[in-house]
This record gives sequence, C-alpha cells and structure tokens, in this order.
Amino acid sequence: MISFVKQLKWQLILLNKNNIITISLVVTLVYGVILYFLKDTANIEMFLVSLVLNDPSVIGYFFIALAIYTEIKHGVFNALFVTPVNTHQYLISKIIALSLVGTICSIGLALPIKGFEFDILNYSIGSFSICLLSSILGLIVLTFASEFLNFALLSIPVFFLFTGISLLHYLGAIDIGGFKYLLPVQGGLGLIDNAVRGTKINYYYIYISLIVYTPFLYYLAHRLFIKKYVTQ
Amino acid sequence: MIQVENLEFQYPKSDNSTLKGLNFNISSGEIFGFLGPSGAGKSTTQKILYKILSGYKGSVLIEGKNLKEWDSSYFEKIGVGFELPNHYMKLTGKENLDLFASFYKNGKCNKSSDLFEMFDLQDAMNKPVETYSKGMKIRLNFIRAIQHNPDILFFDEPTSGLDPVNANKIKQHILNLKSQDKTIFITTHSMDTADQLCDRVAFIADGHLKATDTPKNLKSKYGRDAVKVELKNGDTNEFSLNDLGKNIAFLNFIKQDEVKKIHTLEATLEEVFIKITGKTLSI
Repeated sequence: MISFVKQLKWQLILLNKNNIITISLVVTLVYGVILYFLKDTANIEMFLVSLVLNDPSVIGYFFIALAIYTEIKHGVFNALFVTPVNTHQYLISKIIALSLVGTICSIGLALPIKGFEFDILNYSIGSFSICLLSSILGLIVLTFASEFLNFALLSIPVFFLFTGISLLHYLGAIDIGGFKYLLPVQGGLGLIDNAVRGTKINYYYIYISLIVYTPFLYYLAHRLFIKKYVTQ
Repeated sequence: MIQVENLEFQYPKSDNSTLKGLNFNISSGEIFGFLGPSGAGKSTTQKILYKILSGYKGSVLIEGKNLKEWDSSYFEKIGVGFELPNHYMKLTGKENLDLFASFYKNGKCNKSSDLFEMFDLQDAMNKPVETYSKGMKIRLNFIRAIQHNPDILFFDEPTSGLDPVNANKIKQHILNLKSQDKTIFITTHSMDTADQLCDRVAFIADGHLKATDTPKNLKSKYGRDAVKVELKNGDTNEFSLNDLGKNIAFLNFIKQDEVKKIHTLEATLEEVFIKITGKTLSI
C-alpha cells in the first residue's frame, strides 16, 4: 500500500510537471465562468451532465495516452521495465491520478451552477468512474496505435461508441432503449444525473455495472500493455 | 554468477535464429565484454539477460538459479546503464533518481548528493533533465544503474557520447565496481574500452560466439611477437622479439641511422575481431 501511495504521488508530480493539471484546471475555470453566466438558462443541468460526461473522459482518455507516449518518446520504458516496478501499481497509479484530476475538474464545473446544492458523493463517484473507465479505454486503444496521431484517429469511432451513444440517448437525440444498460459509462452517467437533477437511479445496476466493467477492462488493458511494451 | 548454455532465440516473424547456441560464463567480480557488429545478437542477448525477452531455448542461470524461475526480485539484483539517455525530462536529476529508487526495496543505498558529486553533476542535481547535455544525461543513466547497489551490472556502450575526461571517469567507476565484486557485462563497439576494462571478451557475429578469451590472450594469439623498426633514412625492418638483444641483424640495422620508431606488432583487439569474425565493428 505504501508503495502504491508512493507511485501515486509520483504520477501526480509527473502530471503537474507536464502541465496536465494546470491545463485541466484552466479549462475547468473557463468552462466554470461560462456556466456561471448561463446558470439561469433552461436545461443547464442537462448541459452540465453532458459536459461532465465529456470533460473527465477526455482528461482520462487522452492524457493517459499522452503521458505514456511521452515516456515512450523519451525511452523511459527501457529503463522502467528493468526495475522491480509493479506494472499493476504503475498503471493503476496513472489511472487513479488522472481520475482524481478529472473528478476535481468535474466538481469545479458543478459549483458555478449548483453551489453545494447537489449530491457531491454520487457526483464524485460518477465522474470518477467515467474518468477511470476512459483512462483504461485510452490504455487499450494506445496498444493498437503506433503513435499519438494514429491513436487520435482511432479515437474518433472509439470515443463515439464509448460516450457519444450514451450522451445522445441522454439528450434524447436517439433512443437505444435497454441497450443503454450495456454501455460502460451508463452507470457513472446515472450517478451524475441523480446528483445534479435528482433523477431516479438503480444503485444495484450502477454498482454491478462498475464492478463488472472496471476490472474486466483493466484486465484487458493490462494484458495488452504487457504484451506490447513489457515482454517482447 | 551468470551461466549461459546453448542459448538460442528466434523472433516470431523472423526466418532465421538471432542467437544460435551461445555458451559463456561470467564470474563474480568479472568484467565481461560482449563485442559484435549491429545485428549480431548483442541486444537480443542483453534483453534475455534483463529478463524482458522470453521464449528462448537453452539455459540461463543466475547465481545457479534458472532465470525463468526468478521473480521480480531479480530486478533488485541488476542495474542497467543504457547507451542512450532515457529519463523523465521534466523532472530534475534528483527526482528521476528518487522516482526510480521508489521501485526498489532498498533503492537509496547511496546518497543522491554523493552520487551526483562523484560524477560532477552536483550543480545540476536540482535542475530539470531537459536542460542537461547529452553527456550529463548519460552520466545520470550510469548513476541510476548503480544507485540501488546491484550485484550484476549491464552497461551498453558505457563511454559513448562522453568527452575523454568523463569517459575515463566512467571507466574508473566501472573498475571500482569490479573491485567491489560486482559482475559486469559490457557491450561496446569501442575496442579501447573493452581492452582497458574487460577481464574477458566474447566476439559475437551472426548469432554465434566466435571467440571468448582475455584481450591479452587474443591479441597475442592473433598478433606477432615482433617489432617493427623505422629509421630516419626511411628504411624499415621487422625482427622477432626472441632474443632481440642478441639479434645481430637487429643490432646492425639500428646502427645504420638514427631510429625514428620502434613498435611491437601485437594485434589490436579490432584486428583480432576482424580476423576471427571476418566483420568490422562499425557495420
């Protein structure tokens, strides 16, 4: 555990030194100012939920790939994988660090509209889970891409499937019926919507969905990562 | 310490084996040089010994235990100094060392400030690595490899990219590590480095070990025990070293004019390599 906390600390330091935390906070601040002036607009809460579905997922998905491509570019992997580094700790600390940043940014988006008048616990768990899943998805996709540009191109369909369908359904643009329950971000989206708008949610579905999807996708990501970058 | 027997390896998409039955042993406290042109199989051998490449045939024993049976504790025992810099550029030199030390049970056997001072990097210790020159980054590679006090060290081209002063310092540090009974495996193209540092060298070409011996034995085996004398008048002649002082022809020759040069005809390690493998190291 101490070792994991150390790795988490280093991942947060790396995010900070690479300005990823600063960029995320600045973007949140800009969004926050805009949301503050739009807070009396109709459907602003739905807009907030849509934004939260996108913002932390982008932080998790793209920044984990960026962080790893930077390490590859500087040859750090060569040095890293001849040490006793625990690859689970390495990957999970990266995922958690980005998810924490994403969650803080998500809370920062809610404050200008809701103040503290929302269910912060459900909201935080919801945005944290979306960020967690998108970081894991980012890891999976990067194992199929040779460089960041290639990764970005692959991300267009992947990201649409991952968040786009849930978002369009949520906004009422499409109706996918019960299929929505199979989408990984649906659980997190439900929690955020409940936290902000007080909509009914099925906690059993949400937690079962998160408990199934998170370890399954992580297992896949870890296997692919090890195969591509560690053992050759 | 390291015993390699009949080591064979073939990359999945390759038609030919990269390693074709290598055999060598490295003792504790020995500096072993691994020399060969690009594509000879040096990197593949290194990767197998770093335990990042599996699927090989033959056996690799480390301290008598099969490499495949070692868990991650193997990485506590080894230190790797890479040829090219590989650091977190935004972190300072000290932060880079601290981050890597966090992976080890005893990652900070040596005080960072002492290590930086040892390699003349004390002023750069708290500066981001992106501001370092290439030579500084390479010295940082070296520090990182030794900071956890490993028993086995792998150095890939340890003096490449360094100025002569720093190259000599690194060589001296490698000799100091040997005196501490560390097992050291060096891959290099630099015959001078191999000659100065290695107790034994192995020549690898086309996946085969063509020769393994001390540099001295190899040079004497493939060289000639003779001297070449050049006079100021331009005349040159070669004489056997046997009873040179009693060799009348030699004595008469050097009386003819002032001697401009006398040098032995011992082969250089590079000449030996070319003779044995039929290849040059600069390939």
